[in-house]
Amino acid sequence: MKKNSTHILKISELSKSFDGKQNVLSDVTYQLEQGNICAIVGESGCGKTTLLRLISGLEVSESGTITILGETVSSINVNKAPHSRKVGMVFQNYALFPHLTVKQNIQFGVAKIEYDSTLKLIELMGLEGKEHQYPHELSSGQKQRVAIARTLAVKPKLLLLDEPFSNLDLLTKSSLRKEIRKIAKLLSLSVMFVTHDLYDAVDIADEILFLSDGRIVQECDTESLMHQNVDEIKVYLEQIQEQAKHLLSLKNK
Amino acid sequence: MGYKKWLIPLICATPFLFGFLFPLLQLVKWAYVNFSTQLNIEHVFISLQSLLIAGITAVVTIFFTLCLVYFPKWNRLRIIKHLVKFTTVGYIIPGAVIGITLVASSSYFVSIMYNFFGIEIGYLVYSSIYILIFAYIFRFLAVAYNPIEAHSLRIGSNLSESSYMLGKSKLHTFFNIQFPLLKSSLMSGFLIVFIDVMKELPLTLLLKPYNVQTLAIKAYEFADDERVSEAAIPSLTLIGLVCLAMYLISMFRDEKE
Repeated sequence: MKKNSTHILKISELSKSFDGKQNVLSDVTYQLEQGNICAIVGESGCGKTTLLRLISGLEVSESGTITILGETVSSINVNKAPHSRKVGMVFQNYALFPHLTVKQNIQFGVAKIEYDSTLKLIELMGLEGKEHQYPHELSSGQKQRVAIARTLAVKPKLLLLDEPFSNLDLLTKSSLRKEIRKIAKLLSLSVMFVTHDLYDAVDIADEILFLSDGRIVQECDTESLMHQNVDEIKVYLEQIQEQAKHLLSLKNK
Repeated sequence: MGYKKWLIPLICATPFLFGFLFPLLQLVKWAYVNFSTQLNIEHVFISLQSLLIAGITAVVTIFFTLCLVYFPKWNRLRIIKHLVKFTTVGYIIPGAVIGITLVASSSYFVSIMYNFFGIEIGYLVYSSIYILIFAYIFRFLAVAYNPIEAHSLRIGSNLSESSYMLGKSKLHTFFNIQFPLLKSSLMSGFLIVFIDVMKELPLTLLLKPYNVQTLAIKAYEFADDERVSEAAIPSLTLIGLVCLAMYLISMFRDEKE
């Protein structure tokens, strides 16, 4: 991390369990620098999506604090509504409104006076000519673009993407990865996305967060990871896996 | 092998023939005989009353159903979820039992209101249209609740959550996202309750005000007076309206699919 850097997101000792049972997230502490892209990598059920939902305000944490742009949005006494957190979230299934056209979907959260700005987004996301189509008439890649455009239309400071590439074919995945990075850098947008594919993470993220069993087991920046040779990366990933197993055994004791 | 060609269709047609077609033909024959004496302004008035009662009940039931489906989603209180389960048990209780217990328990409420607050509400409770509609709602809430709840679960929570993230309130989300998507099951729920209320007999017999008549009651009264053939006109009107409602339900189901 750079010194004197501004952090858009600060998470401190965040924990979450459902119905008071086993913790889905335990003591998660993390800081995201403004304008950076962070990939959350981990196996299914390790708490990746829950972490995004807590940041967005769709879930309430048991303990810990979440600060966005210096403002505490979640703590024991504070729980700000999702829309007032300056955060946008794109769901894994895109969650497009099926009875609204592409244009209506994108303009849904925008005041009428700002409708013109959404036209630029339609252009930016390569959706020209699709404005009057309904979600069921679009491909998965196009749906993903509409979902991202709709989220960007309300000008969030932090964009959260839940498994953005999971339903896409290889070609679409590859082009969308590049586009997300390009758009994030163009709009100086901070992004956090969930994936279980390390290749996605390495391709677009500035930093990678390895999550296992609800805990952060490793935090690293992509550049340093890329400077290691393949064998080193392999050893590195095995070490992470070992740490995760160790954590799990400690927990079971 | 040849006998299968007529045996299988015959087996499949038996319930329709003996349960619907033959009784219907008999009703048509009786209706033809009583046509001139029975099809009068009183019959039109009774039909309209039946339609109005069933329509109002179905609308109010759908309103309560939406409350039961969405209030637990909006408020994460466990007690509401349990309450919803209890509220929808009305369908397993016979109509006559609901009628008797409702009148009996209401009497306590009436006397409490009078003794403690001096408010007379007896006219609202005993043999009033309000208590009849309330009893119908309790009886048929589950009929509307189950398909609407199932459809709302199929729609999922992500659409609403997306809307909240985009700065929209729960009510705005409900009217602009959930309601348009639920329209077909709301219409089906409305028509199913409507049909059930039109046909309901024991509850109506017990609770109806003296000046209110329904087609089901009229047909029953004729049959009870051993004037079976005169029951044909109200029965056929009832069948016609129910068939129309069923046709509309199938249209909405096709639209949903």
